[in-house]
Amino acid sequence: MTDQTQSPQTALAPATPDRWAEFAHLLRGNKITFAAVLLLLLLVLLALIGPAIAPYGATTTDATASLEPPSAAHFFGTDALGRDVFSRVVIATRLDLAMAFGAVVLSFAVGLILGPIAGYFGGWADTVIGRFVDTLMAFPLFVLAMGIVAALGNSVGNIVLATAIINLPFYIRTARAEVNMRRDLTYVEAARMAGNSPWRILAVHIVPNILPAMVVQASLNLGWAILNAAGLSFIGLGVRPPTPEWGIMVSEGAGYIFSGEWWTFTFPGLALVLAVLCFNLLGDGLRDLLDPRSRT
Amino acid sequence: MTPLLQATALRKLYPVKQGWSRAQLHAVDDVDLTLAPGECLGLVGESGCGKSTLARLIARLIAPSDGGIRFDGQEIAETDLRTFARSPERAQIQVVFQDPHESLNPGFTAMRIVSDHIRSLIPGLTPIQVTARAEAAFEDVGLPLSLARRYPHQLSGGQKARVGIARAIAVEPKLLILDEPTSALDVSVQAVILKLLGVLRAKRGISYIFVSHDLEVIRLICDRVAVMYLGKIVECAPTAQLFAHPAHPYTRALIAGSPDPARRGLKTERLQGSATSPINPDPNRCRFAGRCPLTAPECTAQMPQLRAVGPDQSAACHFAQSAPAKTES
Repeated sequence: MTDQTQSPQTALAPATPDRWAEFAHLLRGNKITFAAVLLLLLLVLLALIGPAIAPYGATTTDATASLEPPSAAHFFGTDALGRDVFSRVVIATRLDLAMAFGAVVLSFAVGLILGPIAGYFGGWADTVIGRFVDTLMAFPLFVLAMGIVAALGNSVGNIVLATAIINLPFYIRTARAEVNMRRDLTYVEAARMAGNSPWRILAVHIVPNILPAMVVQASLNLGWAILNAAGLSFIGLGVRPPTPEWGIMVSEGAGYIFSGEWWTFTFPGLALVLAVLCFNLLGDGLRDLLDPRSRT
Repeated sequence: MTPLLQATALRKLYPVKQGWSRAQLHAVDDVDLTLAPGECLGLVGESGCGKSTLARLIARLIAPSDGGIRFDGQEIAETDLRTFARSPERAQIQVVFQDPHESLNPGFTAMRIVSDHIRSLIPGLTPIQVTARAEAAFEDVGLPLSLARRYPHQLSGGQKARVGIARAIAVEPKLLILDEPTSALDVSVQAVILKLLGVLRAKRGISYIFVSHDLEVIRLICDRVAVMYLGKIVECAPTAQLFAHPAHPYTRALIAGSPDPARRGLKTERLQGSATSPINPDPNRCRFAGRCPLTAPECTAQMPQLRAVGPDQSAACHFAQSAPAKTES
């Protein structure tokens, strides 16, 4: 008999779930997510205090020490102008993370508005939003980002905007599909029966339940956004050169691939790889945390 | 006695595309139905016969294409759905949905599911009154309050069904529409839930419309049964009468199709062929013709109307015999 209601004493009901204890518990059970969270904390810490702990200034040149290999004085070596690569990699964290987060927050917010509208109301709203998404998807996305930055101008704000726009289709589609799936479930019908307006049904009964899928999407997308911002800088359409930024550093270092000064591009490239890896691994962990079915 | 609910010529058509032409799917076609206060009416029929659509029409979850619904002396079919959802009558007609797993918001606790419903439907209650009502509803359906803080996925199927019932009765409806409330449950849990529904009805005097394809469940709980076939009611009779003397050949086939230990070893009569399409059906032809063992020329020339074949019993068949005299049984 699965119905336990005859025996009230079996109901050792959990207290209001302590989210932090739960979080710690989930992390203990998942070493990879734990590593990703540590990495994220490290990245965020570097972003916050990077300039303070960097041994050299980001743009401090030293003509006597150009292109030096990694040493005790310069952990990651120096570049052609004698700038300390380690300091530049550390200081660049803030800009790279800020651009990625900015872009993701922007596309997440817009996607979370347009996607549910298309998925819930259908009809012409769905058609208009769907065609808009199709139009965006019709371009090679990186080329579209290049076009946007080229048209609007080379600034951090425009890189964020371009990155947000090219990632928007994924958010809209995820949200639309998730809402569409739930639109006709009977719990939504019950909410409709209770006289809730469509907007309230969306905001209270549907959208909170699609957040896990959206957050996973956002986390995976953060890696993408970093790559995109760095990629734009790499081809010269992003942040301007003296500014420390991983993409530019790889781009500047790329000239030394054949002459053997590997540290100039390897370390910023490694920073990119770690950041992208961190966000992708985090995506899986977050899904576990946010899925109501995993709440105990 | 004035009926609690009276549906007249209720009809729901869905437009469908058939190649180039537009056609209409007759989900519910010209249905008349009455329900007395405190009565439990069963609605049976095979999958796709329109019983769920009829239930949803009466529950005002979908708008009828045509026809009227009189509830508690008021015509409610003409109000549009959004306006009706805000009217005081909304709380009077409540639905217990089919699948307890998908009829509860996975992100809400059991308590919030019930109290949200109360808050939306009965304006002007203080939060304490809402909680008190929800707790009373939990008690009525036999759910310990310690489970109220759980999420649906932490509840068993039977407990979820109870939450669904608690949500519906917490706003004190006069009519409860049960859309196959037990079909997703284990047989043992089914029995417990049916018993609970019986108790609630006796205690609160709520009228039920019980939709099911399970004749045994209907037999157990209903006073009167309406049998549906392809959007039409083909027979309506008190439960005992219907099972003892079914007048319509489809009802006979339905009853013959449900397992009965008393008939073990006997050959059951099976219907031949499949149901005709509900899309643009011929208005002058009996819906059951072709599948019916009695098919005669008049069946394809004229649609049989629902007519009285005995006291309280009506059937839509040209050959429906009046029930045998009481002395015979």
